[in-house]
Amino acid sequence: MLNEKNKQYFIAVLFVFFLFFLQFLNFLNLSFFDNLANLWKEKNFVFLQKIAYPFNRFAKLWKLTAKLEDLQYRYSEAAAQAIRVKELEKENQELHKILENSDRTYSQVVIAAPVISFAQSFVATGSQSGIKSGSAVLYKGTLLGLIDEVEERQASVILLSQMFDRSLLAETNTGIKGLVKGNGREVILTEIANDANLEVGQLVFTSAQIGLENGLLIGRVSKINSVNPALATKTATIEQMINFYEVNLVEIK
Amino acid sequence: MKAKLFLLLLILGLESSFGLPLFFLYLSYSFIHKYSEKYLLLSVFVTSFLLAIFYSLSWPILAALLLFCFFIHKKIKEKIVWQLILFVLINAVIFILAELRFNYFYLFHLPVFMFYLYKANFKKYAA
Repeated sequence: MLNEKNKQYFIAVLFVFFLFFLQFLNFLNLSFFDNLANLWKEKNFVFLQKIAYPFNRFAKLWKLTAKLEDLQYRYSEAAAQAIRVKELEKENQELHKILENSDRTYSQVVIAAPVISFAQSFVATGSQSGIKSGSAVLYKGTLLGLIDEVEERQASVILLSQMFDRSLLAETNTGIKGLVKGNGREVILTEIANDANLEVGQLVFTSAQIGLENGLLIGRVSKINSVNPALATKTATIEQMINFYEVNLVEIK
Repeated sequence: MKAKLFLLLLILGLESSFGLPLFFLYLSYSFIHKYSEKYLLLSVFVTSFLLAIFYSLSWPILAALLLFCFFIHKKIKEKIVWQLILFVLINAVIFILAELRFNYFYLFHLPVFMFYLYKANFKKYAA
């Protein structure tokens, strides 16, 4: 027979099995406690962002001049494109009136706050708000990631740089097509034809594909990896203009 | 005692916002191992529950992990180096399971924890 100590150990092991059993039957619902913890962590996140702000600014100081020049160049590029877009918009509206066709699709947009932690990518909204796995996480039209696992009031986000197992169809503003993946640290544009005229600075957008809207900005080509003439394709690194951990609110579509 | 428990909760809440529960695990161990063994076993389940809700992990898996470490700890009670290795392993498993990422808070968190550990444990050996 077991002595008192071993009895306690045995009960402890049994209790662990019992917890696994409850989880298997989906009876182990900790969403109430999860929500309490998330509320607390949200406040901590805001507080820590304030503490980290001066260090962030200091770290960015040394690249300030290069960034300013880059912004000036992008501003002039954007201004030129804005004029062209306005003209196309006008033409489009007139065509719609003629054809009396509205092919806009309704897509639910939910505003949420990035949760909780500098260490994990979660958003403070879940199935209660209608969030589904695979939804796009955006900040002002820029794709940051996709919703991975959804709980009642929180959902995990798989960032583009963490997409090891999946890829997105993408194309540059000059029409060069490729696949966007992640390698843990960077966002990579792969499967680009070797003879494609890819250049640093080109913008990369999502292409039409199931489950994801067309035309979402992913980032900018920052580096073209060395071309191996033996291979039929090449890869490039994409620089994301927005960091998930530096924004306060994201959109989920 | 209530104040200590609240402080532990506060520390866990803060640590879960940027990284690993180093201080929480170490301080809760220091706090609880003075008590009798039945409280130690209970604390394994309470600790795993708190870690599960703050790091969005599975309670049964964490309970199994901490219980396993509890049994190992009984064998290596006087061996500080092995205890340290066990502590690092627990944190490594939490890091992997919770898919945590490194951030610049670690530059502050890790050295402060190592300094605290040295002051609390190793200083008497160095003296």
